[in-house]
Amino acid sequence: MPWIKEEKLYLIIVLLLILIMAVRTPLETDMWWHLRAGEETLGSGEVYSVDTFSFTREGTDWINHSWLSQVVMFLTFQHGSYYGISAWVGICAILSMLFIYLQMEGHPLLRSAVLLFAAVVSSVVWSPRPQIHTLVLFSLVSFLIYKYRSTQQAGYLVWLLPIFVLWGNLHGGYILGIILIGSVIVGEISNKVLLMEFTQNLPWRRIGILSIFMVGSFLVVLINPFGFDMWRIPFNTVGVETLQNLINEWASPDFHQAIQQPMLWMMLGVFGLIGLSKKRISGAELMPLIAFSWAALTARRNFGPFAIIAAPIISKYLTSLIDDWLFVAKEKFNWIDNLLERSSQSNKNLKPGFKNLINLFLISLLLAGVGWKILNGNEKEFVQEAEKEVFPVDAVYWLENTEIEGNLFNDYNWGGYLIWHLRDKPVFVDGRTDLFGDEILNEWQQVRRGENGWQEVIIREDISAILLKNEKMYTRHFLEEGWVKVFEDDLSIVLIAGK
Amino acid sequence: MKNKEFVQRVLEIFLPRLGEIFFIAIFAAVIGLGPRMMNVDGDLGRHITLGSYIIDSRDIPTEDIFSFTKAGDPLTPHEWLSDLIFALINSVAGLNGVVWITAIVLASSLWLVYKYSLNLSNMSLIALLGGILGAAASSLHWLTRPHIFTILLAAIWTGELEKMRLGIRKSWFIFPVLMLIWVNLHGAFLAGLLIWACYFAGILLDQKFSLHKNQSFLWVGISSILISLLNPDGIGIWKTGIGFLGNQYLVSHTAEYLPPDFQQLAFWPFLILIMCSVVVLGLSKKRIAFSHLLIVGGWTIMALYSARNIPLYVVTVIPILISETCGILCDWEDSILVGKFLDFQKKIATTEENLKGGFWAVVSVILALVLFGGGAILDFQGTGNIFSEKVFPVEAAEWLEDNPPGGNGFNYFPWGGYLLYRFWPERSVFIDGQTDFYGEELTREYEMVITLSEGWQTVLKEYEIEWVIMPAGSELGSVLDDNDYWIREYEDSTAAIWVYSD
Repeated sequence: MPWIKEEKLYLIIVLLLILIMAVRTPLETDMWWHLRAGEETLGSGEVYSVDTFSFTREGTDWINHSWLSQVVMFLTFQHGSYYGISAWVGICAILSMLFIYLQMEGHPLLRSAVLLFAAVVSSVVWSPRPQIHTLVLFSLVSFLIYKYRSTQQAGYLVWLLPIFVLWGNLHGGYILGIILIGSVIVGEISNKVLLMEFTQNLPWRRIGILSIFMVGSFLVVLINPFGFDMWRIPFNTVGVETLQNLINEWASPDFHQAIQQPMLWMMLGVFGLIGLSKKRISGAELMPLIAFSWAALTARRNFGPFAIIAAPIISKYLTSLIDDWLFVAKEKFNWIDNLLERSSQSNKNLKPGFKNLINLFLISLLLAGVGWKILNGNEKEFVQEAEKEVFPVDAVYWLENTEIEGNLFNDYNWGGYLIWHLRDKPVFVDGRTDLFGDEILNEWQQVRRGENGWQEVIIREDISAILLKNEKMYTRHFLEEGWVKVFEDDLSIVLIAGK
Repeated sequence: MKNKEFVQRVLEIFLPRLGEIFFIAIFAAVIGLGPRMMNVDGDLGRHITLGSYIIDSRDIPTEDIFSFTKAGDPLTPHEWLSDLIFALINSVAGLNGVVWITAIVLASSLWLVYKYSLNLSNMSLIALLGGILGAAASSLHWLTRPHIFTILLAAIWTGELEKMRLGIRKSWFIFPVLMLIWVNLHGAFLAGLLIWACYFAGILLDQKFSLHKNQSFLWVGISSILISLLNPDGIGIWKTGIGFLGNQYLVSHTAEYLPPDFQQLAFWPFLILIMCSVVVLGLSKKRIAFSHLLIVGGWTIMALYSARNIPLYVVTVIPILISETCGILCDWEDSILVGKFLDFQKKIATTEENLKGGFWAVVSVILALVLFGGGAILDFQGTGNIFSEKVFPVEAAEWLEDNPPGGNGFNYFPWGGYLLYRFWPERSVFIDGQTDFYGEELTREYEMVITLSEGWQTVLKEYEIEWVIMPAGSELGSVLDDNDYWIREYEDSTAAIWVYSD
């Protein structure tokens, strides 16, 4: 008797593969200001919500919607260092994928392949930041909706309430969950209006219950330190125009970049499978697919939610297509039937003990791979060396040991890193775009590019030092104005105001 | 009775069909957008200049005659016929004429989208909706450039291939004729072969690889590929097209090859069309034909990869979507709402059957030309169809005419075509919009100079640059201002000119 069933074996293998993909060296700049915020929250006993990290927004109230994630991150870092952070990202990634798998139909091998594909698409947003909690909870919510639709048991919906309470304190991305539920409701209603019959159609009463829980989920988000302000968060962030121009993950996909192409293939795959099917798609599947295809094409950070919605649809329609093809192929080509029969027979011929040994070996190998990747990629010295490629490590060391009066103007992408590593120097700007808004972000662009009026910003903010990427196009105007180069390496440059 | 018949006949001629109204609306819109179309980039100047050269010399140049950086290098004149058309129209009717011909071509293309959609669905309102969405999606690429002929030919090509697929068209001879015209009009004739490949592969898949039944389709491809060699550069035109697309640097540095930015509202009609294709594919009870699937899938990929493919997406995909929509609606004809709509559609179809159509379209086209001839300004901006002095160095060019500097000039890339239009053959340019010809090396050298990267002065020395014309306030300009050897001789709000003096 095999100690592990074939279906579970495939799942374990694919989840371990995904875990290997997900556990990476944490080189995310925003991670650092989240850690610092988590540290402040734990240290003071109050949610960190008044800015002290920057001088441009010093003292401003800030809706710190990810406070709970920051506490989790800080505790993980405090007790587990980079290993802990890496493992935490990996666990969140596999959890988000597991809830997709549980919604899929078809042969375990096919489901595993589709899951792996979904993982590749989602992986662009697997980073040590609170939004990874959104990915997990979004996947969980989609699983609960799936179970509700297939069993019509309201018990599954009850879980939505504590999930959204948690979500509203973990990350402002809870709105994606609301959109998901809303689109399923719209889809179910459209099934009724268009007289489309599906086995999983919800009766009106069940649609009503789902609607009530959607409203309830939206209301329980208010159970957070910021109350009604939490409802403003999705709009605050999306409303920052400069954010979309400045930050890659808020930009529209660029399919010239190979790393983003899997999403395109997934999108076309799901469209193609729907087109080839002789069955209509349920509105409850179609509406979320449209909503999150739209979202993914508008901003790359929505690749993960899109993959979560698309993967179960792909597995369902691919299974149906393969079944149809096999049915026709078996009639036309006898050898297919013989081949399948022989394959099944040879599997049965293997002794259970031998199978167990192979399975154990495979799983051990993958676990070893996970362990190796976590340990190797997160060793302190290794991380610090890797950080030098991305962060101004040596420049920060120089600034720590040099007394400079006045404020520091920093590169946007290094703000988070400076908040953790250069604590005595508040930053001009960092990844908290909802805090800085268009006003500060535009001023940052103005100074960096040397646009008209940049000197006024420098004077007004009492900036006496500049830390930017060592690129002539961004430093030329400073040098022309008499700023002096005091530190330089391949990555960064520090300028101070000349006499 | 006779009076009644007379009135009937008059109404048949004068009452416009829905498609005709659509044509006139698009035609008027394009006319209204004339200055915007002309001033998005500087390529029109180059096309008119090249076309004028062909008219005057009765020769199609296969070596560069426009730049001093690549003078005499082999050149693929892949748009010579378009250049000729633009130059001829310009010589007769000026830039108004260029806008007028562009309006006819674009309106015809979108009318064909409507027409083919109607043929496949017999639902004029749905076909009209498709046409309107298509117009909105493609409007970003309404430009006075040769690619408008590709849009028109792609629409005709796809429509005729569909007729072949449905067995309506038996003969394949029209295709090599179309390809012969296409290959000499614009380098994107390759799109026609891609469309054919989608249809052919799809038909083979649908008919289980029965080549015997699809020989006509095979001949379309073979004849088109062979006929595409009938151009001034022969196989060279293939090398140029594929070579450019294969060059990652050039493609990523050419704005129109970048992917659509759905953060901009202007791209949302295209996004809506993609979502419509999901809805249509999802709600259809029939399996979509493989050729249609390959067209929809293939051109969605192409358009998501490069925004310049959106108009081709529109002309190939919309008729298919409309056809599938018709199928879905017919499945729902028992529904009261859909039933009423289908009845209404039948009434429109019956009415339109009796209408000749075309009268008002012809009147609009002729009227626009007459009005242009009379000096009327028909654009929305009220400026007339001129090169804008806010975009191009119009006044700086006046100064250059009066104060011609000697030697080679370094010009801002988007102004290359305009400078050719104004000064060729007296002056050549450093670079212009023909990036597939100038290639990666020169483009990199140009970028080196405008970004003041290491070695930029060497580039200017190497090409013996004696004067520079750049936008006012440019970085290069401020550095030249600080250099004792460069004297700023002219400046206005758009451009500035520096002359080298030792």
